[in-house]
Amino acid sequence: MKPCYCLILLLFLGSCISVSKEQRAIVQQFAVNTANFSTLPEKLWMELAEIRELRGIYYANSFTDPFTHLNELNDIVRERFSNDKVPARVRPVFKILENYANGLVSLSSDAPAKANSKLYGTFGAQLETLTGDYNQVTEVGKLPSGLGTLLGETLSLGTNTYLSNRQYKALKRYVNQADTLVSCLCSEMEKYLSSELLVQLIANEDSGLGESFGFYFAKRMPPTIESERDYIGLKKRIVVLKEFRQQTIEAVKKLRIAHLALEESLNETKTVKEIAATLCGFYTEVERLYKMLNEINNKR
Amino acid sequence: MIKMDKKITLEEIRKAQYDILVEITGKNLSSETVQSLEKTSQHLRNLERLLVSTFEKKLIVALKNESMALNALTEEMNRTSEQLSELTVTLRKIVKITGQIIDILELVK
Repeated sequence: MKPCYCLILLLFLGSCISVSKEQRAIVQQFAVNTANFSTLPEKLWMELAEIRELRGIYYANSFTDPFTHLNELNDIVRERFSNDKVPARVRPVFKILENYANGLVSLSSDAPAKANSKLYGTFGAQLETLTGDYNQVTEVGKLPSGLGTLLGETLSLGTNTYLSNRQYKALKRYVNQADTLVSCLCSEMEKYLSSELLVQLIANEDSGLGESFGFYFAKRMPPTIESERDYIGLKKRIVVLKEFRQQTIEAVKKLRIAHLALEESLNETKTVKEIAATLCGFYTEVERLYKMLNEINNKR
Repeated sequence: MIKMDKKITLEEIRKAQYDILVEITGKNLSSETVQSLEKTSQHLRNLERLLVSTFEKKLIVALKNESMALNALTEEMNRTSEQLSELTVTLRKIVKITGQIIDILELVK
């Protein structure tokens, strides 16, 4: 079911069920979408690495010297296994967001406390470690700490079918305290995704693609239909990749606004109806990103 | 944040890789010269790879190795063919830029 329909259904159900349960469902849906979203931006770097690898094979085939050819192929393999496709500074940002969202999923879950008890201890600790590590490697953009500890304490309270008043307060506290963290994470993500360097890296693959294939074709005329298909496929992937970057920036912006709206709803300064459009905006962006990712996968 | 003009470096390096291949195409060069030029192109390709992955990483040793290999090949090219003088100028520039990158990375490590 589409996220927007889910939200409308929740609003309808909201009139029949307790406020706490309705809010928990809203938080749950937001958390699931955020957790899904947190795994998407890194696909940008993965896709860039894959395009680089494929054009590298054609580049290697433009050499006449077999040893240079072999060296290039070996270097492609080495690069593939270097495990550094996502920049070291960017990776923790997505991981922290994923951890926060997973904590939120557990906290708003209606599953019995015992079912998730093993996870409870790890989420908080992981979140705290990741935030600490990130703060150590960056000179600017320090992330607020302490949320992991709070999560650990809060999750140990357990969850029930109906959200108890105590848990509702805990959830509210967790979301309230996380707002600064989410805001900082969004700023960091936006900074990396809008950076001139990332634009240059994509542009470098775009022009490198034309050059690699240009020399391959110069050596092998007429080219095979397969190589022509590869070229067209990779060119299309670059176009989608450029759009994917823009779309991810939009989603990050909507995430920040949506989290703020969620906080306002839990603080009861805004009703669920009032924040519905804002949350839907974020879910739609995530949905679009998934569609683009499918498009990329289909072009492989 | 490391301050360096990666745009010039990346573009220049990629362009030089292909300039070398342009030089080879349709010219009656000795197999040794072709081999040397292709090797240089491949070293530049590795340099491009390193810079692409250098988003914030410190790759001084790898960068130094590539830079040294590139320097030796540029010298060799200088000796083997006068036709390639323009390309040698570009390569010298790249070797210089690589040296600057290493200096910056050493400063911030």
